[in-house]
Amino acid sequence: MPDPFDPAAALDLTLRTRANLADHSVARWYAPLYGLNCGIAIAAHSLAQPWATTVTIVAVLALVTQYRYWTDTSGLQVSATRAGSTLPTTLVYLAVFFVIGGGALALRYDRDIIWAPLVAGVVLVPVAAYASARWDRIWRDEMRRL
Amino acid sequence: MIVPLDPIIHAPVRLQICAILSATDEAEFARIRAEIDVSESVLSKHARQLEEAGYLAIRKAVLGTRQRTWLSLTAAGRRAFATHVKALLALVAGPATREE
Repeated sequence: MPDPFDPAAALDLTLRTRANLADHSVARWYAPLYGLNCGIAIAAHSLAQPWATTVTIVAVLALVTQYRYWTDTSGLQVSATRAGSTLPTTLVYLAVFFVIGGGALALRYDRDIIWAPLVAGVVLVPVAAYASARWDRIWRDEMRRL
Repeated sequence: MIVPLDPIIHAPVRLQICAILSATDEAEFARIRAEIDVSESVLSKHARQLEEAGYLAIRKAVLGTRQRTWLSLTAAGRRAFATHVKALLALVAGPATREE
């Protein structure tokens, strides 16, 4: 324990505590699985009903389950929309997701282009995985500074 | 202007609790204890002091048969921690910075 009256030691303790938390919070499995679930949720709409809705619901439930599993095992809860340096990544990703996903669903249901959601889903897998990995990296970098 | 240090946050264990919670929405009691390596009773005592100051919220949740305790900083706690860190930075930087 540092001398409580030594501000440099107190700052160092604060930084070390946050940096240790960052080092202990790595979950490399999260981003690829997140990308896969996001892609499946959109790609499912290339299927006929009721499979399109069923698979989308399963993918969304898988996303929720994956977050809950991470929370249960890490002992942490972090909102994707939290204020801070992660917010621009969240907003850009949401915009990209809604443009690609929404565009594909519009093509599928307004113009009957059946393969559009499949293509969008395949594109969204790496996009969502990258966004998730980037978000995680920014969050952990934020913990390493004050 | 000199920003005063917050006596509630100043103690090392409470400073570490705030440091962890400032990076998250909530953290489980057991996780915090593992991170800062203190006993349950010590962590409880310090968490209670932060709670009494209005800086910390405590939530109990049941997962299966296990009860888990989640801690989070309140808005006042986040502000107080940010101000405290600012004060520490000013002290480290020296008198010239403190009198800006």
